[in-house]
Amino acid sequence: MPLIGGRANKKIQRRIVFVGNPNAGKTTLFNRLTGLRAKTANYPGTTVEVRIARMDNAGELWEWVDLPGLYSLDGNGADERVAAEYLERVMDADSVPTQVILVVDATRMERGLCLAAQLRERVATFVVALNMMDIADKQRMQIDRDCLESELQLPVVPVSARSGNGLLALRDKIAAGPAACTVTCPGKMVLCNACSGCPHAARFRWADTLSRRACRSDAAHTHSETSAKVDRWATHPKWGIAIFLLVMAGLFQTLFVVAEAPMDWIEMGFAQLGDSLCGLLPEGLLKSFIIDGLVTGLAGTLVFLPQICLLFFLIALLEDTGYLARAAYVVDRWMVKVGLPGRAFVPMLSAHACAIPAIMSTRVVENRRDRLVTILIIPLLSCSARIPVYVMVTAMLFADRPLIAGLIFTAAYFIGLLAAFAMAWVFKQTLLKGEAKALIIELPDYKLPSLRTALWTAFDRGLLFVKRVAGIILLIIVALWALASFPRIDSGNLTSAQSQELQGLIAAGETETADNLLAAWQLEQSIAGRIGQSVQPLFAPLGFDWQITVGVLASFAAREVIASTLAVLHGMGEEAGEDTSGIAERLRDTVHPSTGLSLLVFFVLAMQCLPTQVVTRRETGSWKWPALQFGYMSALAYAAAWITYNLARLWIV
Amino acid sequence: MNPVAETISVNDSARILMLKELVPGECGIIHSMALSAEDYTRLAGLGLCPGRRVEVIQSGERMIVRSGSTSIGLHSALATAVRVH
Repeated sequence: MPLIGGRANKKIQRRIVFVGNPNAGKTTLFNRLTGLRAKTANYPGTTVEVRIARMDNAGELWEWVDLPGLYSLDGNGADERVAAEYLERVMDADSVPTQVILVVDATRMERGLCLAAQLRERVATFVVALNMMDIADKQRMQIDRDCLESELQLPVVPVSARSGNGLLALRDKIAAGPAACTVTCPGKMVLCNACSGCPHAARFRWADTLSRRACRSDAAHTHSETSAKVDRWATHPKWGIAIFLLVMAGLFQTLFVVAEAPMDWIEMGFAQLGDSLCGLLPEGLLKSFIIDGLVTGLAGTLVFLPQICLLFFLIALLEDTGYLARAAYVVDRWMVKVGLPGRAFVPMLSAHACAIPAIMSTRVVENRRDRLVTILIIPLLSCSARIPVYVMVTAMLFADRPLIAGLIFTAAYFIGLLAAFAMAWVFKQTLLKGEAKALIIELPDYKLPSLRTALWTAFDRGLLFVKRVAGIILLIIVALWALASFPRIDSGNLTSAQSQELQGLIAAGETETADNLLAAWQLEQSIAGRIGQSVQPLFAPLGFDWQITVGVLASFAAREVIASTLAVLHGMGEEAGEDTSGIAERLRDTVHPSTGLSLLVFFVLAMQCLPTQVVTRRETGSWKWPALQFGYMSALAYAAAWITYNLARLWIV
Repeated sequence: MNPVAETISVNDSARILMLKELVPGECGIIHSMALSAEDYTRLAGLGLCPGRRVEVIQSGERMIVRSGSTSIGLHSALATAVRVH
């Protein structure tokens, strides 16, 4: 039995498994029933995500599992295979009483019934949750529940996950347990497979007949007709693109404007924490470890949390309206030209928050070639961890010209996007030859999005990010601190010139400057500093000095650390790492603008995120792909930064 | 490839059209789908399979078709392999 989400402390006494078509409102229903206790876990051995909640129910431990949405139990997608395999195992070998809940969209009943027919061939009994009854009522659909129950020989519970109607009845049905669900089990549904040679056709014929009998609508206009009217514009070859660009511009504008305040709060919170700890802790290694290592590192990473949560919130809202499927449809005609399928669009959009969940969500791309290309190019898109670098460099170069700074900032985004498309085309011509799979995409009817589901998604993604920070990123931060802090220097091993300079500053009362200078010398002498100085010749053609080289090397583990590393290296004190404009001012004095531009281009294109590499390995099943990802991105970043540096030197005197 | 595609008789072919040939608003019953197993399963999962009624909503290189209560966006290359009558 595959164990999802780790071992439970107590023996699981009941399992409730949710199955359903994509867009049937399954996850909304699951979240409604399990609340914040649900967490996202990977199905063992895969990156397919399954929502799971373990809850006490009258002294018993119940496990609730939300399987990925599936079109059919014999589908090709990774999600579909996992869902089918899980159901098979749960039904075959599990001693835990398991109850399956099939979530059916009442407004598209025949699709759900078709899955019911297929499920019936594998699972003796299950509950049919007839979801989206609120929309069905609005469309004045009359659903004959008795007819459905008697034909299916299964309990049918009308619910609305959005409004909460019917949830009590569904809870009662679940509480009654699997045994109570069986009316009489007719065994496998006998279907005529021989007529057309297509089992789907036979199931649909049965499902169509039953849904016609059980459901009547006397509405003048259906949701589908309204959707078709909107689609005349939204999926139009020209207007569709214009609408798409407007929606994306609105999305990113909202992202930057709304996330700014909470990002400031996080920065201020950590700055205050650092200040108070500074006063409390005695001078020494422990203080350096906590303030320079932990607090600075955590602040530099957690500051992206609002952007990540907000982008996932907005994506979930857009997805729930039905628009994202149209966006994928509209951009498909452009994306296939470079060998990317339209379905890769949503993962590519998520990549602007963070490449890790984006790579995981490439499972919506069924074809392996298409999926590999998508995974390879996703890290080129500007994730939120790159933004502080963009802010720092643009502030450094164009502090007094905000319009140009804004343009350069936007250009950095577009360079990433352009490089992603260009590299997809290169892969199409070389390593991963072939055309992207022809588009097949469901276009669900437009509907009002569920705020609750979007909030859950944002919370869930945020939690995953924090957990990752608590794990690997924290480890990297601590390792970097150690490399930058050892061997220690003290007054004993300073040169006489250095001692004199220091004493001069102290005598003049400039103790802060003296401390910062000491920190800079510490770094210069540290393992990180020495590595930086020995590797610097490699980066010299890009205009990088040894300080920037250390920053760049450190960022290969996680690019978030560049700002704080540069702050320390330029003798500004660690606290300045939180204030990118402060570093910008300092860099303006010490770094040539051409180096700044070259650094910006390097950061746009370089593969500087170990966790992403680990996820690529897990997703592709081989180290070959993350190695290729690292190799081509490093080469691309180096070449592009070299060209930028040399061109900029010609233009900027 | 699905063997059904091979069974189109000479008489049938006169009134059998490619799905791509239908104009928006026109309907047909799917006769056969000469697609790879992967595409076949995917379309069938969405409700496009022999015997089902399909309506073209939007035509062009990317088409929108409707089968039952489901709208599907698909590349016209696939729609040439779907035969309707």
